[in-house]
Amino acid sequence: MFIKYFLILLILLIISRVVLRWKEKSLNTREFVFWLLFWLAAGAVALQPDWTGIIAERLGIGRGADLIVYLSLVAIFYLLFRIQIQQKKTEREITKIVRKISLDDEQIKF
Amino acid sequence: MVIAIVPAFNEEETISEVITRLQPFVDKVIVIDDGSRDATVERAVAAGAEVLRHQINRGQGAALETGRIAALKLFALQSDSGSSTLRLGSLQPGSGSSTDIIITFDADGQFNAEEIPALLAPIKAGECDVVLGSRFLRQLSSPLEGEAGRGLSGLSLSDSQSERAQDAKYGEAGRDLVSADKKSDIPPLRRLLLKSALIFTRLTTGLRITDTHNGFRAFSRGAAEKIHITQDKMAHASEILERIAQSGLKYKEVPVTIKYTEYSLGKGQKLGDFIKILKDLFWGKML
Repeated sequence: MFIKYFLILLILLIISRVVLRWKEKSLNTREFVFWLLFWLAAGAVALQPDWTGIIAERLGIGRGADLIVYLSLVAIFYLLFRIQIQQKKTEREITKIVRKISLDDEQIKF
Repeated sequence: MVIAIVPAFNEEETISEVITRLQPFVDKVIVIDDGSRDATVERAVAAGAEVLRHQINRGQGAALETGRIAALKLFALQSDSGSSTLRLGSLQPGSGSSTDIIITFDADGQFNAEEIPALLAPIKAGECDVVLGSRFLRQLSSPLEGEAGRGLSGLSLSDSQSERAQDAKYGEAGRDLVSADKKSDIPPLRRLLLKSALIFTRLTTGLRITDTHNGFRAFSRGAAEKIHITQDKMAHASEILERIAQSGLKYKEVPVTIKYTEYSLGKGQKLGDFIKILKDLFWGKML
């Protein structure tokens, strides 16, 4: 059961970071509440792995571990999607800057 | 005023010749150097083009958009100065819009500058706002014209009929030009890819055109003002067609010759590029 205590320690550490970042205002309250609940839930699952089994059964998924894997996949895909969009936006911004420089320094004679 | 915009990325081998061939047919050539690492800029300047420089490579779509903005600026400056030095000729209503035309032209020497008058004619005559070059046109029918959003009918003219239509439109020279090419030695895989792009375009924009990825185009000033390009890479070709459809611009296709040299083939689009285009179009919609 070493892994259980290790996970709990890790989660406590993360929660302390979350609180710290909220205090120094780099997280707003909404984000703070989201991450606090997220890591508390993770802590609960670490303490009582059976709980995921109960939820999984209600959702028609065999095991609690499967539920976690499915949820993680959904989260990862969503995150990838967000990152892609962010990256495309950044690319467009770069193009705008490059274009601005090229037009500003134009030597076109009339 | 007719302005040719030529996006160029590492085209030192062909750029001088392309510019020299363009010059007799246009008033100004604007080369948009898209971050070339060779002598493209020096050669373009030496050949007498105006050169805008992208400090880093942003793609053909980005370069065309820069060229479009620069050309529109030039038109605006020109009409400003025109009004201060009053000339009766320039006071005719609408003269600005029908004589200010932007041509897009590739820097790799695939296109034939002598075909420019055929692209300009329909706009000058006020028949349409956009003229699109097509390498497949003669094989399908006579020049297609349409209004975005409206379907076309009667596409299946026989060869001799379409030849007569060509004759009527472009005279002897036009006919020579048509017969010289059109068996266009297009490699089979490329032909297949271009045909799929055609079906895709028909499904997404409703435009019934014969060649969707042809960089030889002409836009009236009014049309150019509406066709704002956000796709930096190759997907801009589809985006331009989308804009034409959205803005309800009148367009027309005109047959053009594409010379497939080993040089241009090396630069042209492959299967992977078409997949990239689809990807870019998808993400473009997400933004």
